Amino acid sequence: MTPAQRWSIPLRLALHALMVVLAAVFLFPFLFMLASSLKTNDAIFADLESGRALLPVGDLTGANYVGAFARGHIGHYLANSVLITVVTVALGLVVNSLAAFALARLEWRGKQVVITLLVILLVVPFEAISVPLMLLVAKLPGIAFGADGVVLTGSWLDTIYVQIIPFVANTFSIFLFYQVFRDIPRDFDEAAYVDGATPWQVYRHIIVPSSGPVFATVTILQALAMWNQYLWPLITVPGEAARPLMVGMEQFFSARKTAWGEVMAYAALITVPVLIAFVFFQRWFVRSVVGSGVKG
Amino acid sequence: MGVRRHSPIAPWLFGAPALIGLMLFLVLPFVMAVILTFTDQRLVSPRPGAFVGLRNYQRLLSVGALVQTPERSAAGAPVYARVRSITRGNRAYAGYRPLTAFRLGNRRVTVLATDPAFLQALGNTMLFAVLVVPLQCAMALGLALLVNAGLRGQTLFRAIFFSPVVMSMVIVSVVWAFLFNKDLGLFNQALGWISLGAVRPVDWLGNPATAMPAIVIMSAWQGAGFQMLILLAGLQGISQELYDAARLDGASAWQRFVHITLPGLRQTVLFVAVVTTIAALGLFTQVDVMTGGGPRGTTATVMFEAVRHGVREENIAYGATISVVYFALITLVIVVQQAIRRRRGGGVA
Amino acid sequence: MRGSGAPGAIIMTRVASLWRYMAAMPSLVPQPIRIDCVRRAVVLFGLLLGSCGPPPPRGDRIDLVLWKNQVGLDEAAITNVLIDRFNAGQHRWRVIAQSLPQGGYDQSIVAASLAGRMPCIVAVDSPMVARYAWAGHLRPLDGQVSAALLRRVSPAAVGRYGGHAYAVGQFDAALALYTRASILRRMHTRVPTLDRPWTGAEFQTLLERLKAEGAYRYPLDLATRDDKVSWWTYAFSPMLQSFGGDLIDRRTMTSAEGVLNGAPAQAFGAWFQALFAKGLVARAEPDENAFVKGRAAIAYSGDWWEPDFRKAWGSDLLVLPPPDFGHGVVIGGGSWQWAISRTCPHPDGAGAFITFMLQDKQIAAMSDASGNVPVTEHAAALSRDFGPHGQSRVFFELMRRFARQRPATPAFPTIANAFTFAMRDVMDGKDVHDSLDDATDDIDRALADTVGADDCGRARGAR
Repeated sequence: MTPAQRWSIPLRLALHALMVVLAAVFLFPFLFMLASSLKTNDAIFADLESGRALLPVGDLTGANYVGAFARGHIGHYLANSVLITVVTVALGLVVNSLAAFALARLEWRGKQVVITLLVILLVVPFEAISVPLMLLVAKLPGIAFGADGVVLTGSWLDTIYVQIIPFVANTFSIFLFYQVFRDIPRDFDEAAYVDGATPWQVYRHIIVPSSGPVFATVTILQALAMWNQYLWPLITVPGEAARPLMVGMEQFFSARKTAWGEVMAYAALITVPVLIAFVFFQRWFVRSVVGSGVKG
Repeated sequence: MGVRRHSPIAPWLFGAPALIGLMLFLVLPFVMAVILTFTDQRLVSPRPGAFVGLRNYQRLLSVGALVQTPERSAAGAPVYARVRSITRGNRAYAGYRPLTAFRLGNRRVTVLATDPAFLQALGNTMLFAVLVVPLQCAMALGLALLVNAGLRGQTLFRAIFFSPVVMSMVIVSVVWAFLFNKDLGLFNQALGWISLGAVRPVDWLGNPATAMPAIVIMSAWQGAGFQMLILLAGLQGISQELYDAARLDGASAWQRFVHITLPGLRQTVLFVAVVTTIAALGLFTQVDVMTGGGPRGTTATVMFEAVRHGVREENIAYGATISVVYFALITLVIVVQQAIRRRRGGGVA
Repeated sequence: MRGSGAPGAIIMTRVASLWRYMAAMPSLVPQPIRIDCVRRAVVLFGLLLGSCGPPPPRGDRIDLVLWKNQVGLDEAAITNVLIDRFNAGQHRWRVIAQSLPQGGYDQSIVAASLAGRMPCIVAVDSPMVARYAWAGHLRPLDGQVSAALLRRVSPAAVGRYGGHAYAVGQFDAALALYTRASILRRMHTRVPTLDRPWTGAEFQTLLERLKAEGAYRYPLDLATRDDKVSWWTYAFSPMLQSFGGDLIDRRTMTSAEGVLNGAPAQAFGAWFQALFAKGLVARAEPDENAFVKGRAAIAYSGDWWEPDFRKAWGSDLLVLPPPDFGHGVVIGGGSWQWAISRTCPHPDGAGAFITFMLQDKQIAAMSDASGNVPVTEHAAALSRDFGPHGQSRVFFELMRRFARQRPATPAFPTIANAFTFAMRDVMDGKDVHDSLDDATDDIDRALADTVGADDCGRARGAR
């Protein structure tokens, strides 16, 4: 840690004041969302023109949250989203870090070509491939789980795994890992190879333990991307069984008049768990950094 | 170093899961998209797409010019025939529309294009990237330094600065659209109050001159937490011993920042800049929710055009053409940039 | 360091337990289609790419899957009530409804048809009926829903293409002008009626006097803050028609030339542009409540806002026909409609369901519960709110007298987009004639692309 203790007290106070001001700037839509989720539609619009919009004042009601659960099936969609996010991120951490390891730490013919290709693939926008990908997965042989056990079907549509498998391998994650793995000093693995270690052992016991922060970063970034996935499930998952949270929110906008109170309640229920997870992750993040600092 | 200490198949085993995934779910669909660009495939259609050669590319990229001499003069100003009357009446100009015009002597030169909206969107996207990347990266760096300074409560502040990234874009946009409102928005109220009424209310999202800057401000604010996170990881990778040594040598905070932090962060900053640029080039959601591409196309981006044609008008062949052309342009920039870097002796990315 | 030190083992155990959870997923939500598909797939084991196809009979009933767009709470609830009523009222069929998000509705249909999983009954937005029919996703209602029944339904609620009826709506919507009696009294302006609506000039004079009076920054709210293509087309193409223009030439259905960029259309565009230039309408109201809060004196909006307006202004509220700009009052007609998919193995069952939904009693029930406008005279008479003395009768009258369908052509998505972008450009001060020419060119190209020469005849017949 940078020892702020050594800084003068006025400087620390000034920095603190700056942080608080910035926090206000960054927090206001969040406060608006939380405050509005407790108000009726009328009250939200009545308060819009003043600071009241950011405060839980006036006639407050929990009805929006009741509506989000009763009408929004939020519990079911939440389970889907958690499942999709956790599985994708977990698989992604392994798959992408292994690939990055091969690119950053192993010597092989054609490596440069693959790296350049990856850089180029980094810029393929998902919007560009979403429709062909949809046409593709619609015809891929898949698996269904049902009363009759596991059977094969003719399509990936309307499943949980159509939201997972295409997103496990991720150029951006590979790149983040690659950046970090490449800069780890070579002394350790050279020594390990001399001692007869396999690449797997080098990956497992040297590279992974000394790159905690990048694993944390990839986890947070890929989890966010999965959690916020919208366009893809919208077109490939018509049914409610495999529907994720973000698509579930659509229904509050579908009516001709948006029920803003319920939208805010639903949004708060989507956002707050992620922020809490982020805060917890922060601790792990910092600890792992300390750990690697001790080693390095 | 040069000695290979592992079997030649090992790298492929390590890379296989990721490579197979990328091949199947990224490269293959992209190849399909490229094939689509040579057809007239629509999402909903009674017949499979027919091969139409380069028609989509012609419709997207053709440019031309129309030179006019004045028909007459009114009050000293030359009057020209209406460009549309010429282009729509003449087969040679069929499909062309004016993009921009300038005067050459008493002649008027109108630059024509078959899809001026795409070219305008291309310009808008570049403008957005040029404005937002430095702003957002600087903001992110400032935030990262601030929440890495060891001050009390930094975990909480990290979460706060990160919170806009997590929030639903729709809700963020609703709040910002209200802030930017001409008559009742806080922005104008604050401006008027600070300037004692001297600044007239600005229709931020409704004025062609201010709509893009407004989107830039909002985007930088919304996304900075994301970059802050990557920079934080970079900051924590800088050895503490360097700082301690510098402090012993009597280096000031500023000197430590310039001589230790910045060089230590060089790779990370570069990476963040690249990532931010890629994200900026894909700008879509903010525009779609806040301005719908308006006013007069000044905030329409390439992705907005791709979605408009490919998804909303269900002309998937044309939408794919926009994406593929855009992809080719960006790749070109990367390749050129890499070549320059390699000449200077830099590494990849 | 342990956390990141052994991701492999931890992740694998997590995956194993999650995989079990995934296996249990379908049972969490009752989803008969999936299970039927599974059974079918067992039968077809080996034909991996085969579709799930028709659900086999279960017990003495045959299941009919129905897809509809997600809608407001009231409409969703009453639709489910009516489906239950249908299921309880006979023993051959069972309709199973699924609600899909509107944003991906078209893609879901296309994906489902590719995978051979089209439902039997689909709800289709009225202007999209022609497109689905053209693409072969739908089968005509001929023989399934009687022609006599369709004749009783208001014309705008029947989706026709190529000489056949493909879809029919159980309800419609209506646009109106809303204002307050007290405002008109203060302005010494007459209250227009269905028989004698305001002329364009009267309307314009009123707006300018309201502006001059100074009480309203923007006297009229056109809901232009909603930038959705569906709203702009639904709301403003009827005004264009009232000026004498149209989206495309409905005699040929193959071009917009002359109707979307002719003199009447230019007059409409100039008028529309001036509304904003003169400050009569705000480019984007900060919220959707300008009329409720009293910021605007007049609102142009759909019947679905009437309850809110009534709550705010009580008996002072007036619901008026939109102005007649020279070619009669026009409002948009056609909402979401029921259709039968081409691959439906039991069109007779789907037909029975649609016929049931078109019973006057069910239409009236739908209208009273959801506020949607009934589509038959008898249903309106049966209805509490839309009956001769009902509080919402005016919307039925507006629909019956003035509703006109958007053009039934497969190129509709492009038409709607082109018109909307042109009108938004006009609003923002772009040259009116240029904007309309742009839209005309876009539309003519899309018409040439989609409805090729061989389809012209069918399109003409669709009129």
